[in-house]
Amino acid sequence: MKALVFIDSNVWFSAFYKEGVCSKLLKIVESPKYQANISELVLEEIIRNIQLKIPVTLSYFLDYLKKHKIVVLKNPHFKLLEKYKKLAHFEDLPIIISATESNCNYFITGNVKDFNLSLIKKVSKVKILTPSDFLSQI
Amino acid sequence: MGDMQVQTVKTTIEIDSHLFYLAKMKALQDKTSLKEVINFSLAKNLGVDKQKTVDLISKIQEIVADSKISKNELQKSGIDFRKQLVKKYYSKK
Repeated sequence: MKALVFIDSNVWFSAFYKEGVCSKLLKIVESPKYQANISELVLEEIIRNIQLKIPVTLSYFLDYLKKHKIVVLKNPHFKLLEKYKKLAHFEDLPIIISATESNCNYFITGNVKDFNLSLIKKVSKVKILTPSDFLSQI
Repeated sequence: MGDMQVQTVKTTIEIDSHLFYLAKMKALQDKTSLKEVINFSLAKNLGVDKQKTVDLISKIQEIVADSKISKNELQKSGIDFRKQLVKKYYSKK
């Protein structure tokens, strides 16, 4: 069974920036052992940022999503934000809820500090890791 | 091609002389071989994707490097978009 890996937008931006831990992570998650996930919100954030800052790269990014069959999870219903409100900062809540509700195994982000790790551990099986931690754990 | 094994076959076919000329010109321009040009065109036409994934990310990295945008600028802009989007989707509910 594939491990479901949710990749936060900051990891994508770092991978776009230069070869390093984040691009290495993407390459690993391309293997059949993993299924990379993002959410509608993360997708829109990345597309808008690309359109603003590096518009020429948009077609490459969209090709990448298509080629690797990156799963786009639905944004959570607003009622779930209340239920899970203590899991993260308000801006990050919908993202972590998408990962939690979809039973993702890993949530990879560069901003681990924005999440209430101890509480997430109690309510979800998802592991919140930095790209480096993920690479060292697998 | 790294450690990837590529099988090839030899065959004889007739092809359009003008296309053959154009393919040779393309090979010269791209500093590659006629075989590469024909293989690439066939793969493209048949919907067989021969490009490795990492090339797409590398391509993005090249463009980003040329753009001179800083890493912080890219990340900061992303954070701003997230705030706007979450506000748009969830604040009025």
